[in-house]
Amino acid sequence: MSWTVVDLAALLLTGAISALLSIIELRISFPKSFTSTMRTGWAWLILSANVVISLLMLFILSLLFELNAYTAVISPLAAFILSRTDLSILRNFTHIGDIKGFTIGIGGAWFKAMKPLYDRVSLSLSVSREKSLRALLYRYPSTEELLGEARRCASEVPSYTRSHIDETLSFLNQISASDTLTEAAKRVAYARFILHTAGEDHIRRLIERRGAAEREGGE
Amino acid sequence: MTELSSLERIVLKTLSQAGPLTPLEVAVRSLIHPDSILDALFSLMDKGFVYRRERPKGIERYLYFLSEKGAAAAPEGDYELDGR
Repeated sequence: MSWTVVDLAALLLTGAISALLSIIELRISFPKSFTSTMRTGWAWLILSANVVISLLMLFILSLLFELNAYTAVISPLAAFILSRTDLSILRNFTHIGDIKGFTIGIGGAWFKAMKPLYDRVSLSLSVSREKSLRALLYRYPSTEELLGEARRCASEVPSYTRSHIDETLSFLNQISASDTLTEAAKRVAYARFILHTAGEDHIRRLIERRGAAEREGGE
Repeated sequence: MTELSSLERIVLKTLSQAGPLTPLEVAVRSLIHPDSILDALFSLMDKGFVYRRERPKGIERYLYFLSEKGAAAAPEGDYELDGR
């Protein structure tokens, strides 16, 4: 079998459309951390799986029709939709008495196969968030100072109402007064609180400010 | 239908809004003491609403995920503690 330019172009087009659909799906799945998501190998594995089923669909369609631009465009779309559709719903319309309906659980199988990969992406993202938390904990060896920063964050969020501020401060007091939480757990809770209320940029500023102060103190 | 406590419902809602979280992250987002969150998470795990995965590294050991059953049971509505 010899490959023509049209065949190769069809393969590339299928791959490109499938990759684009996969990227859109990942963007929707991880809206707040899309850039970090695309840095994980698991996200590229998900993308590759989508491209592979599209190429498989292209192969099937090329046996039935000619390999051209139309089949190249339809294949990734068909593969994308079919893999996410649970056709077992058709059983509801065809099941009569003992006669069993037409059942293909493609959608269910696809989601089951993809779930562990999406879990892996979440695990990787969670670990990357901790780099900034670790730096904050390192820069703030005093638990009291960390609690002070957390309190300041709670009071400075512009969208918080008075009752919301009271609620968040009461939460911090509960953590501070806890007999069951260890010192380390309290520190992590304060750091997570700052990350949640003020965001990663604020943490970066705190770390830089603290680092600069330490350098000045050392001179 | 499994009965859920109000705390369990809050945990399900938090996980459905924020995605997989560690117990301390759930505590911070829901403003509920971590000890109570752990109890609720264990109870939800027993009921099959939540499962956890061990992390390769990190400050906290496990990340909790909503199962399919948990996602279906997560309460809807305007409950929102994340004011940002």
